[in-house]
Amino acid sequence: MPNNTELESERRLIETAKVDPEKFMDLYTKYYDQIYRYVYRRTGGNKDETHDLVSQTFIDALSHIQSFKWQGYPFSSWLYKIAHNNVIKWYRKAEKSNYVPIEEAKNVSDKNRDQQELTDASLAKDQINAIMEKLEEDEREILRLKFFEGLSNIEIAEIMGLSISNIGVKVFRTLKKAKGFLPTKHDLKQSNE
Amino acid sequence: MNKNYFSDITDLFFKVKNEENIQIDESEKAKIKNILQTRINEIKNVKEHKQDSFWNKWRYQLIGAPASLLALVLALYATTNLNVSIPKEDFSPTPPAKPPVLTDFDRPLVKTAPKLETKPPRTLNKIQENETDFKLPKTKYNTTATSQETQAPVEPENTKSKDTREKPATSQETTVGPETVKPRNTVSQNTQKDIPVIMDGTDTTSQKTTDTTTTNTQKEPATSQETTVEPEETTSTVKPENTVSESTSTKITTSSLPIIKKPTETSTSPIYIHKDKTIKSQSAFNKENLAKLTSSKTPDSTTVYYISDNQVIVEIDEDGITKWYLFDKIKDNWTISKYKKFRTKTVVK
Repeated sequence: MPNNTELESERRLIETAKVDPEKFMDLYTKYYDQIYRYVYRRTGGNKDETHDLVSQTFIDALSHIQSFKWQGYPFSSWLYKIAHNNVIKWYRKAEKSNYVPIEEAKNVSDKNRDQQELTDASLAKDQINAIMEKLEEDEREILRLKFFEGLSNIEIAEIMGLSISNIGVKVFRTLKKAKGFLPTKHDLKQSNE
Repeated sequence: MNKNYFSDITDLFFKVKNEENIQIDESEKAKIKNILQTRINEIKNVKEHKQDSFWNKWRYQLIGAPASLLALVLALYATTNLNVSIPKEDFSPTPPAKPPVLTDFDRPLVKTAPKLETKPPRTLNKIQENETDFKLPKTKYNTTATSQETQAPVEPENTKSKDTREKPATSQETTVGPETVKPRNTVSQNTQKDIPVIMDGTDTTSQKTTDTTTTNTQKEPATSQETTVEPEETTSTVKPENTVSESTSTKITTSSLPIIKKPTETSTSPIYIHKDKTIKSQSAFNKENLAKLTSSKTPDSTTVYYISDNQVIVEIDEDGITKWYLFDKIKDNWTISKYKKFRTKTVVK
């Protein structure tokens, strides 16, 4: 979470962008990478879909910037929210067309991997994927925003449309639940044998 | 949150994140930038067009101001010239049903209390009448269609006191004393019609009174037309038997006094209807017609009590069973409204 000075400068930039749309390009430049990574993870590494979703996210933000109300949160929270909604819409469309991006992402990642690259990190990634599949969608989203995007509970609450205390409780419960899905040492020994 | 407790799962997440190597395609970034720039230019053009347009500048002068003036004029016109009156009846609450006002004509005939030796005869005034409880006498009244009997006073036997009092309009049972004696009933009868109007019942059931004389006076409206049912003014004196005047003089109360309703005056010939039977006669309340109306075979006696202009109660004794019928006058037609036996008390109230 940025400090107060950064937040104040961001607020001024947003107010300027409301009057002069050209200033919106500064916001775009500032937050493009963050939003791109977030959408890329959500789409399972699908670059084409990521491109479309990111562009749609910034176009939506530009169109509705007049309705943006400053509440002390970073502008990125608002962008995350728009991107989150666009990804959900995209998932719904994908489900209707029997398109499963997660499975494809797994295959893509497996194709690009050699046997030598199966390091601890890759094992960790597999474990995370296994855990995430067992969690609910809102729980997965909370963990993504919390650990991959590095957002605070306040920003997550803004994105998810929940209260801060509710997010705190949900983070705790989701971590506890995810911990239960972790394989124990006994399970690891059995799998090695 | 205990960091150590969740360190294994959080370490996994951070490890995956650090290993992630998401390449940002600058060309894609530039494409999106171009798209946004195009969009920004469109927004700018729309804004400039709105600001520079003739319509945007002069729309208020062209439409807004005349419309405001027109609305003002209409409002002034409406307030000054239009008188919209709303009838009060539409919004006023419905007035509560007023109790029927009893006129002197509707009131029951006043009957003087039987004269006693020691006390002067009591006469009910209006206040006493209003306070009178309409309790039914236990005495059953037999009506006879003999005018001579009703007009001729009956000589009391061993009379020590003369008791004149009111008769109830609809009395079923009158209890004055422990003993119930069936009094003689008199029926007023028109000279031309057989309408039993007056019932004469005396409470001779009192204690040990051997002879009491009851003078029953009932006023009936004069006959106005040929078709009008008019009971005549009759005076009946009933001589109870086996009564002792001493005890009756002390126990007779105003509440136990029978009251007789005045017959009403009808201007047109009433038609009496019983289901599909229509009897067109001014003497419809005679024994014969009432037997038809009430499906009684052989009524021993019939008595008609006039409740009001539009209501009449008919008492029919048949085989020792007393039945009461309420007749309602609807559009000059007398119709039986209730076939069931009912208590007079509920009707009078």
